[in-house]
Amino acid sequence: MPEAQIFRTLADPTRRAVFERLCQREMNVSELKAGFDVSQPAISQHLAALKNSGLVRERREGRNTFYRSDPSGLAPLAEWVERYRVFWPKRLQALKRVLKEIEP
Amino acid sequence: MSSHHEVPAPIVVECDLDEPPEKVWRALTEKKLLEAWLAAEPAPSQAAAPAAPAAPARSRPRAPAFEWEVSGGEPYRWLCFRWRDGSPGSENGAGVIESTVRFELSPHGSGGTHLRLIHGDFRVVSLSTQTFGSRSAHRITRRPTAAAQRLPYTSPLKLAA
Repeated sequence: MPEAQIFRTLADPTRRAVFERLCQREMNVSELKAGFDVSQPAISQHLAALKNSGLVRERREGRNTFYRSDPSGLAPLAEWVERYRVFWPKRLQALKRVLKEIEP
Repeated sequence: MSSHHEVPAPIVVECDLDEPPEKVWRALTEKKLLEAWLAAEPAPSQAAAPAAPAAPARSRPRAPAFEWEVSGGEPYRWLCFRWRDGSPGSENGAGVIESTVRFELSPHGSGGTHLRLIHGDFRVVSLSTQTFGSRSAHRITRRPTAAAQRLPYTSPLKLAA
């Protein structure tokens, strides 16, 4: 259930902020760390979790690794929500039918 | 980019019903009536309605598998369900998505009801708390039948990359 994993990954406020910063532009870990009041290992852990959920991609260049958010990683989440956007109007149509059948 | 990566905004659906809040309340709280509309397939007449063209098979994600439990309410005014989505045991430890479905009823026109449904507060709960507790006397659990899973759900929403 990838959508649950994405929800979970983004539930952490710092991780969410990391994802949002990396939506703006590609950064290496030290650039990224500059915006946060947490240790570099902590940032690396957040990056690992984001990569694992398909929300961040990395690119190696020599000894440097650059990170960038991949917004398409959010697609399963959007699809999950979209299912309910379709689901509820259908169910309310069914509710209307059931209401007509209730005895006074 | 701004809002594309924010936690999904609540889904809000509103409609006007001919019946009074008291009757709508029954349809929300009496198990048999509730399941008749919330957990059933559309009637064949509905399925055959020309309004909704069938989506191509490849764009049909699986139908929601869900269960729910009453978590609060005030007769004839509002009712909340704790809502869970997902098939227990089928995920890779990612948990299930829990959310809140709220129904708000208000009198409308001459004897009708305005219904506002808000589905939001999406969050993930761990596998260990996956099954609803039995403390609630109003517990209603329902999984879609195989037939219900064939409903043609579509997913037109695509995120801007």
